[in-house]
Amino acid sequence: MIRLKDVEKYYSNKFVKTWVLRNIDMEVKEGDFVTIMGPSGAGKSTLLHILGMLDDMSGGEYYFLDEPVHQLNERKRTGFHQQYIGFVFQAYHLIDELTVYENLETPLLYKKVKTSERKSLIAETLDRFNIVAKKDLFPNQLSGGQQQLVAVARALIINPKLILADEPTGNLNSKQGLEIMDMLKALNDEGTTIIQVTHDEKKAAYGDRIIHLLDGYIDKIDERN
Amino acid sequence: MLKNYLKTAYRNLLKTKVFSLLNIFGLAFGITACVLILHYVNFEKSYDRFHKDGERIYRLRYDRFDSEGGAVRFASCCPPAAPLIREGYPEVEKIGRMLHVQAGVSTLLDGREIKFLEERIFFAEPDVFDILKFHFIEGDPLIELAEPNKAFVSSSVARKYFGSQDPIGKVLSIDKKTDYRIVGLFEDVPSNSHLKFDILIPWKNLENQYGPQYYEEWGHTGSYTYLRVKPQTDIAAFENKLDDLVTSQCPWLKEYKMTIDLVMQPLYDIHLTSHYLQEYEVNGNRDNVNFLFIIAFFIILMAWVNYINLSTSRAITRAQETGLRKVIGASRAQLIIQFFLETVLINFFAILCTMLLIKLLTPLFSQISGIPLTVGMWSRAWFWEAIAGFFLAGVFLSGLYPVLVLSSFKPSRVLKGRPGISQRGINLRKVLVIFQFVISLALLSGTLTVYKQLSFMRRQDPGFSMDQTLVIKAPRVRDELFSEKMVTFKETLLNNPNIAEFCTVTEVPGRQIYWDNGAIRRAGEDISKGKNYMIVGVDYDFIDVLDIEMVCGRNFSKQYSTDPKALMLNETGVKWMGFDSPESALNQQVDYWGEIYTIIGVVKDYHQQSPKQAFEPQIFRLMPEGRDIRGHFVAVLNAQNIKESVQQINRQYEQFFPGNPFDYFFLDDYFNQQYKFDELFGRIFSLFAGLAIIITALGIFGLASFSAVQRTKEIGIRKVLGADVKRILLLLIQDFVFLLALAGLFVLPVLIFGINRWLESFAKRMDLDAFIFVVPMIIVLCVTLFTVSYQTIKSATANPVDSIRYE
Repeated sequence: MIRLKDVEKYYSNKFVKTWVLRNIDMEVKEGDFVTIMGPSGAGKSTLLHILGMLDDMSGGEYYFLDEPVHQLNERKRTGFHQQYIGFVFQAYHLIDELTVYENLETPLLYKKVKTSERKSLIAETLDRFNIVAKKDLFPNQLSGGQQQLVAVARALIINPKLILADEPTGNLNSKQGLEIMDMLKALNDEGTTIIQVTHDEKKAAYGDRIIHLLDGYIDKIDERN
Repeated sequence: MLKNYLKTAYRNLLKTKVFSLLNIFGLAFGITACVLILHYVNFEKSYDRFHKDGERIYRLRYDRFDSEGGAVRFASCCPPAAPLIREGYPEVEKIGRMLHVQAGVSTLLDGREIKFLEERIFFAEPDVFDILKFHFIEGDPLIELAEPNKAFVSSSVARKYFGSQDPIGKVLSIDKKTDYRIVGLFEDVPSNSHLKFDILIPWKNLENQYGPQYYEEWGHTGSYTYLRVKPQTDIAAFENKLDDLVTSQCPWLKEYKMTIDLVMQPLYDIHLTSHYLQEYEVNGNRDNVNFLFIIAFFIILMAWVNYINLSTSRAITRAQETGLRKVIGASRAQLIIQFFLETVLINFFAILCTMLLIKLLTPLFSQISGIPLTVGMWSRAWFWEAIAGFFLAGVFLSGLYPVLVLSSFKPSRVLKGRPGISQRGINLRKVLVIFQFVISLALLSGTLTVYKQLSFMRRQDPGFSMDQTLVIKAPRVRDELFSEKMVTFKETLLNNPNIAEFCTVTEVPGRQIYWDNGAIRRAGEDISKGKNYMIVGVDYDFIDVLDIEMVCGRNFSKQYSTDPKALMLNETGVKWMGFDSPESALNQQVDYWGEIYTIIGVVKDYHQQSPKQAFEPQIFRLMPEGRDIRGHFVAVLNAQNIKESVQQINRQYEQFFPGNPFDYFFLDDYFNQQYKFDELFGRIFSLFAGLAIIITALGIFGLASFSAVQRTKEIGIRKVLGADVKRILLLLIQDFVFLLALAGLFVLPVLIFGINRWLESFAKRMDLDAFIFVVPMIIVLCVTLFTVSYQTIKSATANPVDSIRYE
């Protein structure tokens, strides 16, 4: 599903290049649950952003479902977002001005899903995440765990093939964190591909492969099964 | 989708109430100012546009040059030109003449006499109304005005004299000399006509008044001549033909070494460019109109710049939302639509506010600008075009940049907490702020200049006294006993303890003298040396009553029986006649159209017109009884009982001069109304300068809050390192002071150039001083400091821990 070949990323400031990622080769198959680990500044988030097409890479090749992403224009990439990719972040990142219902609705609007189908999708999701009662509340009226729940729900509503999670439990207490992780695991079992970034060994254990990053290089890869 | 966008936009507006209000009001003020200026400009430019085929209509003017090239230029023309042109020039379709007079008009209604002084009466040839299409309700002027003793009146005049009765068939008596039967009615002349009349009477009746020789006099100006030419007429060639006409008709010109030019003046140019002798009314000024138009342009530009500044600085807070929307699948196009929609919403609200403001301001603006309320804006096409234009231009111009900036944020950076604000964006905003400073400084300095020059003019000694001075129009209806009546009238008034002094004169100070005579020269000089002078007819007391100073010689006196053959000059007149000094002019002789007068005195130049105008050469002639046209009585009242005195004079006047309406004014009011246009200009200027300052303050507020947000972390670190609020304030203010200084440097040369250019139109100019440049700087500086401090103190007193933890 995903193939990176010699991907690199640097920022050039005047004549000095600051390397963030170098020589990244990796492959992710459909149904994989991959964890990216590493110390601060190792390039974890950047790698995730590149995978999610939120950031450009400085060099190398990136194939997503055999399409060469490094050659695609912005519109095509936006198409991939809408179609295949859902994001979950450490800071919940809901749109403050929209209610829970409207937050869930927005990606569907961008995807131009028809009204009737949209309504049933939202209802289904609210139900599934047990947040029907909260649908008319604004994000600042929810607790952190609830907000992250909504964020995950929003990522899933487009039924993505790939979920990218950047420390999804970083701001949650351990109980809420476990719930979110269990949910991701369940999704993975249903066939969704998941790539997560985490510091936490315990959370990392949910994945079946761990990629260790160090100073922008892939240090080592642990295969679980 | 649309619903989602609108909802976000609406909730965003509510969430950042202050910003939204700043945005909306900034825009609304800008658009309002612009629309009001456009209203004024449009009104000024609409003059005489309602006449059909107006581009083929001209007014024939008259210029006279003496042997030394000295020119006297008239708005009017001489009477004999029109009939000759009518006969001999096929390119002229129609030509017609009009003569403006004032007269006492009376009528009998149900046995009661009703009388008024009418200031807008015209003798007119029928053809004038074939050329100028005014709206006649009853009667055909082309037929009726061809016969004598008929009259047309306006609806207002009809109402004034006859109330609800039908005016047709009624008789108006003019100066109790001639009776005219009303045969027609016309709609009140529109306020945007350079020519305004209330009563029309036939040109044929002029002959009774001035005799047949009036029609043949080439040296006599005063009647207006309008003509319409055939399409595609070569105007320059036609003017050349007129030169030949003048040469063939006036062989005497050679002898005097004078020339007369008949000039074709396009109808559409009259109101904004015509400033000659004997204009019907003081016309507008194209420079002022263009200048206001430019101001309008800059004000709207400022409002838009503001909007850009405020929205891009707000973009930081919007960046997170933008990035997020991208992450969950928004394409750039979708984001652009969303932000444009917000711009549309803000502009829409701004337009609503504008309409409300205009509605509220219209009466006030009508008062300030003098445009009648009846000239509404709401029913005009241009108004709606302008509103739509401002809306669309506002959305695109002011929305484009913020939208592009917002939609181009890289989501990955945004989500990491580092919105992609480039240095370029900051520089752009700085340039925009400099631009706003420049405009504010320029408008403020301009306002100060206008007011300083006005007060400078008012401080000038006018050269005569105008306190408690009542001026009454002299009676036009006179019988053979008039001379005796004058003497007794004067005595009666002076016996009244409320009245201190009395005199009669043909023209009091306060406007250009209407009576001018050419071809006046020193006795014995060649006829070609004759020049044009302004003539004032005075009695023995005029000089004393108005406290006018004599430079040398003496005033007219009853002790000298020769004084009817004497005259006085003013200082400018002395120079104009070619004397080296006032003293050398004394006892010299003057050839005034064949009669020899002796110069007995020289009068110090006094301001016949406002100090804006240069002194003109004046000749004072002795006319103890004044004149029936343009005659004035002047009475100086004692301070107490002004109102009672006026009533007493009124009673005496009616007794002595029955049939004459009592029409009076106070000299100081009359003189000061000359400042009306410059004061208007000053008021309009200060109004817009005020608006500009508000808009600038809004802009600075936006930028200050932007840089405060941008430097939150820096401020936090500095505080941790021990900086106090004062020092941080200084740090942020530095930037703005630097920008202001830069703006000051830019604006100074432009201002000096512009102000000098404006002052050129004044004969008496104030000196430029630093005051008009420094004060605006201080005002803008204060506004800036206040605005910046507010924002900065807010962020400088925040807990540094919060801001540092941010990353």
